[in-house]
Amino acid sequence: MSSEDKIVLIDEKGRRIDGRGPEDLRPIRMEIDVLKNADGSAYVEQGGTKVIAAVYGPREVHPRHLAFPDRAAIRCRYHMAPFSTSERKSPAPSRREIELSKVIREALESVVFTQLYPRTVIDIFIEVLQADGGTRCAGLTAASLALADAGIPIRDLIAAVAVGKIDGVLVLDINETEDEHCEADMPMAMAPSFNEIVLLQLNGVLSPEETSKAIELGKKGIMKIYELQKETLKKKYELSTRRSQVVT
Amino acid sequence: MLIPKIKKKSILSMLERDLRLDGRSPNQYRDISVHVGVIEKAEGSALAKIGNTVALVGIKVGVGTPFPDLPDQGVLAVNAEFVPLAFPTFEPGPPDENAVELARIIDRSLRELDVVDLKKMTIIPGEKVYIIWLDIYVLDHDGNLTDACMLASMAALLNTKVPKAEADDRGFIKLNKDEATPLPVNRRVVIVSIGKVGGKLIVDPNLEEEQVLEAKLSISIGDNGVVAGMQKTGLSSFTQEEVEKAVEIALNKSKELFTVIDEALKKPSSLWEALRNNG
Amino acid sequence: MVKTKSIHPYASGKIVVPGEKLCVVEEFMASEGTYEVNGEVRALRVGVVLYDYFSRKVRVLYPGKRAFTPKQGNIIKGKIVSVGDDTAFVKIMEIEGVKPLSGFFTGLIHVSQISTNYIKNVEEAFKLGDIIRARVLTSWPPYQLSTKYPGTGVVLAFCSNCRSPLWLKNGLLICPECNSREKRRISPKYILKL
Repeated sequence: MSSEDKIVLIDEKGRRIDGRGPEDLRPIRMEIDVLKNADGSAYVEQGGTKVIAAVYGPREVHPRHLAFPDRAAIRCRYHMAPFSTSERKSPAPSRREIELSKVIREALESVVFTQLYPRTVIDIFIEVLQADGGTRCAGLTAASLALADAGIPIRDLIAAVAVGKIDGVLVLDINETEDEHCEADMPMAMAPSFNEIVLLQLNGVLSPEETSKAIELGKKGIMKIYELQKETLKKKYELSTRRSQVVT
Repeated sequence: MLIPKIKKKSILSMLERDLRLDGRSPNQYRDISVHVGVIEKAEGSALAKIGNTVALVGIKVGVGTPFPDLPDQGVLAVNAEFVPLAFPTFEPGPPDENAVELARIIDRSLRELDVVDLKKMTIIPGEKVYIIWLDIYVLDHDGNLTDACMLASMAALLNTKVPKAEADDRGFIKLNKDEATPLPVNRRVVIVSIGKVGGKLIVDPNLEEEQVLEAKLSISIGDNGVVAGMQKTGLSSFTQEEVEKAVEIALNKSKELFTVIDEALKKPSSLWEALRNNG
Repeated sequence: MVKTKSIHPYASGKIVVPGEKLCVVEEFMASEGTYEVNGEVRALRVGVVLYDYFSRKVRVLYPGKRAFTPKQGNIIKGKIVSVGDDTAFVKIMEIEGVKPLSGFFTGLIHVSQISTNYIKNVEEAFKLGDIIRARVLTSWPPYQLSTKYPGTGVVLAFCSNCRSPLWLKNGLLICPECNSREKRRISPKYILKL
């Protein structure tokens, strides 16, 4: 660490670098059904982070040996656009992207009724178009909306947020600058209706007490994001029911 | 979609009356819109929509070494990704032949007209130059990707700000985003794609039409009225007269595309605005 | 949660999202678009909730898109992609009455499922490239299909000589280009009729 790393992330009034308080989320907006070809799609903006997700399926698995006889397989790709980061990122998947694809897939798999579609595959594609911290969380939030938009049976939506620790203070929804300088970064995702934590990672050091507090803080943020997700889905479907009759 | 041969018959019989399945005339584009400045973090960006086809282009500016044979020029690298969320048969992985072809068509069009003044993009001649990464992202595919990607690329270049290169005390070159200047662009270029079906020429074929096309000609047109590149794709052929006619149509239609770019540059937009109500 | 005044505690017509609690199982049983967990019924899709006081069932109907895979009893349209001695493989491209599939599924027809009449081998009934309408017999891949049912069979066939579409005339398929005549397991819904 060199001397120039000493930026003030939290001032004496508890204001963060972008003016937020420790428990504030960044401005979030989301929309579903943004792509025509995909079976389901969603776009989520969280501060400077912009993520688009699409779902295809259930569809036939190729090569066939990847299919499960009793349930649908889920494939997930988390990918960052080359222009999404400060330095151009090579479009080839990095080790980080491969790992995140896996943990995101496992989180989503915990809510999808895969047993209803044996021997098929559900493909979930998440593209980070602009990265400003919390991209896996925004990606997961978007992917669960895309699943709902596609009409794939799910137990619950998934909402996600990253909790960080900066200058000894636990803060909600860290952005990229905070992420670079923080003492700990803990992305988490939940199935909110069941209080289940479906994704949890920690990068950094927390005391056991801080761990519990961080999860409490994350839950608060997740509930707010979940409310927005519900609102987004209901608004869209209210419009579509007004337009067309109910099809069973 | 299910029965291209049957569809082709109805497309042909409608074309006899100068009509297309979606109600367009043979020389008509679908609705076009361009949004610039949609990725704030990129030095330049634009999203172009032609009908339901959506292409997003982001430009990153970096520092690197020049090509040995062109020591006094900056480097422009064009890359296209057909991301799997855009179409059921697009698969994850390195760009396939279609993506590489598309990137190269656009690369050539930009290079042949010296669209970007690469000579002005040197930092230390022979050692350090600017590298301009132009990355094309196809988000939704409904035919005629070439025109949409070119349109987004051109608008993104015009929207690009080049950060000032500064050497620090150890001689490392850093880019200062706070002092950025517009990318030197000499001229503009667009591509007009013309499909041939049953001997008739149609502008901007959509996906449905592309599936029955005999051949397609993508013609790059510079804003000085020159033909700056051509690519014939498809299994069938064109006659010389057809090519001449296609060039004439392309010259005509290119004016519309230049106007769309001009309009888009007047006001920066956002991805939110561009993607809402798209589905 | 906002309390709305309504005649019944459970008013139909509200839009619900996946995971949303609808009632407990003692009140209404889980049905279409819902699932049961820990004695509660919840929605598994976005949709309009319907509480049926007669059958004591709760349903969620979908105003929007819905993930469709072929199900037993569906009628599909597809293309013959390979013909063996006793089976033909079909690329299922559309389930009738629902939104077109984004991908495709593979189905197969056994020679015994082609017609109520005796058919010796598949070649008699289907040829490569034919478009058929068929009924789905199983609910997961590879889908077993049948063209024994009314309205099923070939809806579009192509000439084995010149590949141009065949026209149906007096129960025979005729090629307008080369005048050859061909036989198929023809559906009454054949597209090109003279």
